[in-house]
Amino acid sequence: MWTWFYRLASPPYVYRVAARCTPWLLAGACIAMLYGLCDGLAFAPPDYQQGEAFRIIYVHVPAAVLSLFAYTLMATAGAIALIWRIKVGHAVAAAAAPVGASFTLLALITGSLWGKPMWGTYWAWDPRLTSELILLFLYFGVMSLRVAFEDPARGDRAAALLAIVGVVNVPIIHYSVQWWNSLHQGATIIQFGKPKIAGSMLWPLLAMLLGFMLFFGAVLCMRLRAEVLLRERQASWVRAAVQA
Amino acid sequence: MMGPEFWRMGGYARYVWPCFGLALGVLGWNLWSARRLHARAVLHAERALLMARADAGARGAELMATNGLVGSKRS
Repeated sequence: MWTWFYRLASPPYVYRVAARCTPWLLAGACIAMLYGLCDGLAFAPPDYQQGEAFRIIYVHVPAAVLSLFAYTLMATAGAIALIWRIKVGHAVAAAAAPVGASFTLLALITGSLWGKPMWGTYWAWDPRLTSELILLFLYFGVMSLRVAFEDPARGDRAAALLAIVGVVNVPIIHYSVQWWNSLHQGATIIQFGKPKIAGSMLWPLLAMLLGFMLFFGAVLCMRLRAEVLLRERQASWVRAAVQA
Repeated sequence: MMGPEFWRMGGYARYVWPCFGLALGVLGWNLWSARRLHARAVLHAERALLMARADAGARGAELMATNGLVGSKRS
């Protein structure tokens, strides 16, 4: 286990593994999303209250879950890089930030489009919506801080610190619907006991969730390879890789 | 659900379809930007390699000139 962990700290190993994983992750993402889209859009029954508008769930929920997952990954990678001085950790955090930010934006916009027919408004200063907007600002802050210093190592450290401090927002987003009065509906899938959603609606949702996760993995691998190349461009293994 | 009813989405088409279109856009942007970043990184690495080679070549020529193996450009 520890040997594997230490191997992950080696940039050439990470570069090779990421290159090998990318096509498999992309292929898996395409299959899962294709199934999720067909089943979710054409075969899942309409919701008894929301009608066909509920189908927005098939992009909104995966985007929202991914926004939290990407942030947690970014903060964890930043912490690993700070504690064990593993440079690949900073590369993972730098690779995850723009992808996570784009999915946060997608969750906010699709949520807003879903809110209009259901709540009668595109936006409300609701705890769930507000904390998700703060998450987007945290992503922007982390990305800006990384490039704000002349010394890239200082930028990496500052960005990792902000990511770690900001991770407190992740449980706030998740539990906001329980802690405060919220327009937003409660947990649908992750809760004790049975999920609140019927199986015919749940399976396409799980497929889309898996598809988005695999897609995130693929894009993360692609960005990680670029980050590693940019950071290690003076290393002899990079010269060998570029010449090949 | 098939045919025109599918595209109407029970009257919610103007909310449902933009969401799926936007999701497609975000997925596409992520792929495009990741590929672009990787191409830029490869270009940077190639430049670094060329500069290192040019540097090594210049140093080698200087060393040979110092040792009197070939005529120096300065002389």
